[in-house]
This record gives sequence, C-alpha cells and structure tokens, in this order.
Amino acid sequence: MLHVILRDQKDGKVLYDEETLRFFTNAPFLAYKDEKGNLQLLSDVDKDGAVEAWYVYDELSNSVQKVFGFYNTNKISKDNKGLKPALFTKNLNVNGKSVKTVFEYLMDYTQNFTPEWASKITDVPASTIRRIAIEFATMKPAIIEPGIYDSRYENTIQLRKTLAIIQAITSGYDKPGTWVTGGAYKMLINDFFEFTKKNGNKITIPVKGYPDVDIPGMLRVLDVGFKYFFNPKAWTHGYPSIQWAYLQTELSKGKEATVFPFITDNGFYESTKKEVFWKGQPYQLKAAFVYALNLVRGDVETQRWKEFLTNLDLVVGFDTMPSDTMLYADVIFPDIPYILKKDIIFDINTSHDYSFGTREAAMPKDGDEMHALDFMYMLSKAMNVPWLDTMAELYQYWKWDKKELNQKCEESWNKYGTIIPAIRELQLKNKVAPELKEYKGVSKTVQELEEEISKKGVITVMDREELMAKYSVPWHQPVPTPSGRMEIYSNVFATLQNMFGYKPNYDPLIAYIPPKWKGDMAPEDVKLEENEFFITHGKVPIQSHTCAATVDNPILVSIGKWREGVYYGIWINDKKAKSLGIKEGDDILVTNVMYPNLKVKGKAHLTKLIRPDTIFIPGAFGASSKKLTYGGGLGTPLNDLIPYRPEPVIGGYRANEFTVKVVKA
Amino acid sequence: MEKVIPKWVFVVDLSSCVGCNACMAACAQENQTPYWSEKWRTKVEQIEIGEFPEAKRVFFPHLCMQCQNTPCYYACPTGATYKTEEGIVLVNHERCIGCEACVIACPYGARYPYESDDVDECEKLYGEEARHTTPHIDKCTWCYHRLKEGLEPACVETCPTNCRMFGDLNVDSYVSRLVLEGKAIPLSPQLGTEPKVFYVTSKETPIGVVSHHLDEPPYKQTI
Repeated sequence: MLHVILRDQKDGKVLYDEETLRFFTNAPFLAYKDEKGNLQLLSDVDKDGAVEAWYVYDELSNSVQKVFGFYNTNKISKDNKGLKPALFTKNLNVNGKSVKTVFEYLMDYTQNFTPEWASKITDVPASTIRRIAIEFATMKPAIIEPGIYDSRYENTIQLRKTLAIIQAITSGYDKPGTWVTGGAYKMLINDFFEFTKKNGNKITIPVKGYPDVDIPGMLRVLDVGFKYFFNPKAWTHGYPSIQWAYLQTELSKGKEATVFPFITDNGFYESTKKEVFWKGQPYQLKAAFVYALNLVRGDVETQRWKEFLTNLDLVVGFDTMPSDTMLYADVIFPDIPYILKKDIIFDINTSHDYSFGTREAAMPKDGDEMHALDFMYMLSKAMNVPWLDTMAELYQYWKWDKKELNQKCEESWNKYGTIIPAIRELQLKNKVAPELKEYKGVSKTVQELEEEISKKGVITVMDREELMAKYSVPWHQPVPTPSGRMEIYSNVFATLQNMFGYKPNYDPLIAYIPPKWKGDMAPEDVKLEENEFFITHGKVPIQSHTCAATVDNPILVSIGKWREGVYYGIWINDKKAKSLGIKEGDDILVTNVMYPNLKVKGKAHLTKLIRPDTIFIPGAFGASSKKLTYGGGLGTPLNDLIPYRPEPVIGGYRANEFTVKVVKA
Repeated sequence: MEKVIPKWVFVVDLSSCVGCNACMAACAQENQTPYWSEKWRTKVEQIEIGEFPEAKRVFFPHLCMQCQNTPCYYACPTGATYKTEEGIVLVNHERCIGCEACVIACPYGARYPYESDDVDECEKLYGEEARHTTPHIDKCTWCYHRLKEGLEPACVETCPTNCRMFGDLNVDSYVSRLVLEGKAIPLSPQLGTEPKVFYVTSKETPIGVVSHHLDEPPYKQTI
C-alpha cells in the first residue's frame, strides 16, 4: 500500500498529501548515511544534547534552512522566515555531507515492496492491493484500525510503523474519521508545548525541568525509562531495573536481547536462576507483588511463569479471583471488583472530549475488599514510607499540595477507612474546578462537582469540536515525538540504532523482516506437512477467562458453553479437518513444531471461516484453577503453545511465528 | 383525551450485529433467565455461509416475534398465555401447567421451559427479589416491565452497535420509518404469524439464509 501511495497518481495528482508531508512531518528533513551506513538526520545539537535545529531545503529561497528542534510545523524557519520545505532535492551537500530528504530515502527503501511482491505472500491479488491503496488515499477520511494482540511476528513493530506512516502521508491524524487523540491527552500536550516554547523550542531526552509523569506520550516513556528505570544512579540501592541489568548481562555475552525493555518481563525468570548480574554481582529477584495480573495464563510459555513464581521467596497477590497465578501467592490481598468500586477521578483519554470521569459502586461492599490506593496507603503507614509525598511529586498534573494531601487522607482514613474521598475532593478542587473555570467559564464548588460526577460519571470541560479547532495534533500543537512532528524517520529508533548498532527491527525509517516460521528457513521454502498448520489467535466477545474481572462470571461462562466450539475450541477448516479424519468436538493435540515440548489439547471446531493451512485458537482461556467454580478448566490454554522469544525492540512475543502439528488426541 | 395505545415494533439491523452477545447477558440479568441451564430468551445465532475463501458469518439476533396472529396464544389450553392491550404476549406463571403446547406451536423457537430446578436456582440467586417462583414456560417479553416505565428493552439499551432498535409506529422515528417504508422486513411472513420484529437485511446478510436456518432443528417442530 505504501509503495502505491508514494508512486501512483490519480487524475494527474499524487496520492500522498504534499502539504501534510512538507509542513507537519519530518519527511523534508535532510538525512545522510554515516560511516557505518546508518541513516542519520542532519541537526544542530547543543551542549545538553538537545536538538536546536533540523535542516530542510526551502523551495521559496532555494536554500538550506533550519527549523526548530521541537515544534509542530516546518512552516517557519528558526529565524522566522516562511518556508516551503522540499520533498525532493538534487544532489545536495551540506556541512560536508551528501544529503537527501527523508522522503527520498523512503522512496528508495520502498522501491521493491510492490503489490506484486505482496500478493505472493498474502494471496491477495496485486490489483486488489493497488485498488485499496488508491481508495484509501483518495477517499478521505480513512483509517487503518490495527486492532490488538498484534505482537505476532518479529516484523510487527515495523508493520505498525508502516501503518503509522500510511496514516501520516494521507493526513489521517486528528481529524474526524482518522486516528484521533484523546481530549485530555491534547491538553497534556498543550501544557508541555507551553513549557518547550519557553525553552527555545527544543527538548533533551530525558526531558529536563518538567514533571516526569506529566510529559506526554512517547517522550514520557523515553524520559522515565532513561532517567529512572535504566539509571542505577536514580535509586538509593544503586541498581537499575532488572530488565536493564538483564540486557547488559546478555550483551556482555554477545547475545541478542530486547534493547528498550521498558515495563517488560525480560530478566525476571533468568534472575531467579541466578543468570542476571549487575557489576559482577548476581541480581536476583526475591519477591514479587502481582497486582491484577494473570502471568501464568495471560502471558506466554506457562511453565516458565510457574517456575518463576515458585522460585521466588515471596509472592504477594492483589486480585479479585483465585486465578492460576494467585495459586502461587503466599499472601493474597482482596482487590475490589468494579461493581463495588468507588474510584478516584481520572481524565478520560479514550474520549475525544476533554473530560473527567470516575467509577461509582453499584452496591456496597461487605467484605475486606480494598482499593489498591487504600492498600498502598495502609502499607506505607505500616512501613513508615512517605508514599503520598512521592505521589504528589510524581503526579503534579493533579496539583497536589503534600501537606494537604497527607492531612486529608488521614482524616478520610480515620473516618471512612478509605482515602478515596480525600483524593477525589482534592482532584476536584485542584484540577477539575480550575479547568472548568478557565476553559468553560463555569464556577462550581467541590460539592457540586462531586454530586455531578457521582450521578453522571463524567464532567466535560471542552467538547471535541472546540478541541479539534484549537488543540489538534499536529495541526495546532506538536506530536509528542522528539521533534514534535509526525516522524516518518523515527528519532526513537535512531537512538536505539546509535546505542546498540543497526538492526532492521529498529530501522529508523522502514524495514521488512520476513517471518521465521521455521527458524532461519526462508519463508518461501517453508512447506507444510499434511497435518501441519500456521497458527493465529484472537479475542472473542465474551471476554477472556484469564482476565480476573471476567474469569468466573457465570453468565459469560454460560454464553461461552452455549457457543462452545466457537469460543473454547480450536478452529480448523472443515474440509481440511475431514481430510484428517477430525470431526467437530474431537479432542486434538496441537504441538509447536519448533518447540515440541510446547503442546496443548483442545476440542476441534470445524468452520469455513479459516484457511485450510491455518488454525485459530481464541485467546486467553484454559484457566486451570479449580477454585474458579464456573470458569476453571474451560477453553484451550493458548499460551501453553507460545514460546518465550521476545523480539529485540520492546520485547513483543512473536506469538504466531511458528507452525504446529495437529493429531487426534 | 383518548388514550393512544402504542404500536411497538422491534427492528434488528443484521449488518451491524457483531455477535458480541451483550444482549444475551443483559437479558439474563434483567429477566433472571436460567443461563445456568443455557436457556435464553434472546440468542444470537451464528450462521456460516459460502466456502473459504468467500466464507462469511452472519449473526442473527433472535427473540420473541410478539406475533399479531399468535400461534402460542391459540395453542395454550389454560389461557396462561395472554396478550396485553399493546400486543405483548405474556405468560401467567401461576396458570401455566407446562404442557409445552406453546413451545411446539411457536415456529420461531422462542419459548422454553423454566423448570423446577431452574426455579430453585433462581430463588437461591435472587432471594426475595426472585421473579420466577413457580415452574412455567418462559419467553421474551420485550421487557414489558421496562416498557411500562418508558424504558427500552434491556437488550436494546445494551447493544453497542445499535443493531437492536425499538420504536412505536405511532411516532415518527428512524425505527418506525424502517418498518413503514418496508426497509425492515419480517421473518418468514409466509407463516402468517404477522411478527412485530423486523430485520434490515443486505446482500451480505440475506434473510433467506436465516429463514433456511430456522427450518433446521431445534426450530423445526414436529407435531
């Protein structure tokens, strides 16, 4: 699709949106190949490492001009001249480097990925691919919805990047009918943009001088990652996160590992086997606090997680259900189910409006269940840790005053046995009320706001139309990328490339990584045996049974049983199944061909809706905990089949990148 | 002022049902139906049509048609099955003897027995608020108790894609226009039951497929 949109025309016009590309992306930025052959952007960097300027070729003045380091648009130069940045240049040499635009490099990189090439690996005719690409580019607005559960192949990261590029070059961002950012998110970006304007329209990575948790988007991930998680000096104990220590351990052995292991599980299991080191000393996890997470059934390679939890000295669980993971807990604290939960106020980032919401209890609780924040408060009091102070420092978005926060929470705890009323009161007073006053001109007391939000569940500060008109991204304010533009060339990936050496997985521009169904065998050489299949998985509408909130819901279980084959079975093409002598409901054994120790038994569901060479397993069933009176033992435990093979960028599991063999059990 | 009796109709847009089954869950909770026995007042059938690679799946929400020419009403020997002035077909639990004549008579498979085990379970779950306190034949009532309060049926309120719609033919609305303009059509009109549930169909969701499906067990009744 990208190849077609970059090259084809309709009615004499190019398919990509020139204006968007020139002014709101880094497609016109000048780039060059360094001595290692890696693609880099031409830039001026100050002594703190902040990019002060990028370079473009201006068609108005026919000269090379500089644009701001962090800004949403390339319409003006750093010295305030109007610009028309070129997408195509002619043999430019700048600062001793032979340069082209990012856009020209994108054309080069996508040259061979034609619809004809794609049709060979997708079974979709080239003419159909071409038609869909042209329709997508010309029938606006258009959106590609990639769905969830997409960490299926090593190529997934680059595929997602390609989808984002297609959306960008057709101007498909923050307009009705395209990818739209949340209303509260736009306001978060706005606050940050105001900060960067005061600092010369440039930022460092990590960001300096701005509350970390309030930094929007990917910038926050980079900031918190490099400033805290990966930084041993940020911690009194002098150790970085386990994931970073594991990465360094593997690199020291010349092995591949996930290079940006931010909130991944890399190294957890290995540390309990004493295979992770930091400064020559073993870095061994001894305890885990598992909050509302079902590692054993919701993650991959079940046995690995069971061993991990068994190897720990202490497992503390916090959940609503006796899930497969909670069976390994030494202590379980009772989390509060949604139906009983009166929650704090939160900004609703999934809404196009700028609004605040909450949850109200549908009925009173009558047991020991507690909100996680109450649990943390109780624990912090028992351990004499100033947790509320830390929360106030981290979450300045809510404009906490430490003294007031501590005092109010103590009063609330003593009176009600929960800090939630105090948190809500301060959120409404310090954030919601002032925002309503500033943006809507409405003054309301905390009590009035509490009544309103309790009844309606939502308070809207600004509606979508007004937000789109003033705060849309990138049309009015920057994207939270290192440059503020929609980045065709990813500066985040460039950072990884420069730190760890080139890999196609984090090629800053674009790359294709063929599927490795059978290790290093080229995909076109893969020939399936008679009872061998590719595998795919997905969600089904009755939720999954690994999620604690729904695992034991008797109504959902009944619906699942009524649709048994569809939800709990293993989908196999009806004609293919018959050729193998498999009937509806037969017990079948599915074995991972590359990792034969990984296998799962399930019931065959014959269907026309799957390719003859592929099976489908509905994700996240197969809970084995007998204490789950309704949901235990139902469905096929997909994760028993999937090996733990995190890809090298952010640790995605490549969950479908293998073949399986099916026999009657 | 003369009282206007509503002419309620139910419209289902087959092209927008995504098979989420939220309607089934909502109905089970609202009406205390015996989900533990996998019996439902409303169901979403899944029908596969065609062959790979052109195979498709049609989701068919199925509920009581509230027929105007009501086979179950005529079949009932005790008068337990009765109709309200608005044309909603209800069952008097106390009068029902569970003979299942209505189950056989219904060509749409809309009825099922709420047995004594189910009653026990209902009373165990819902306590004093249990509404099924004696065995009887049960069916979808279009949430008549909600309609009387000016609310929509629970399944309509829950449906995330607005596939299920409810309206009054006396009131001009999108729903009433779909029916009056013939864009929504009834299922199996040749049966003469004059159903009040109408379906919006398309080339991708042909109602002929659905009708054919209803000829198969368990819908096909033998007398």
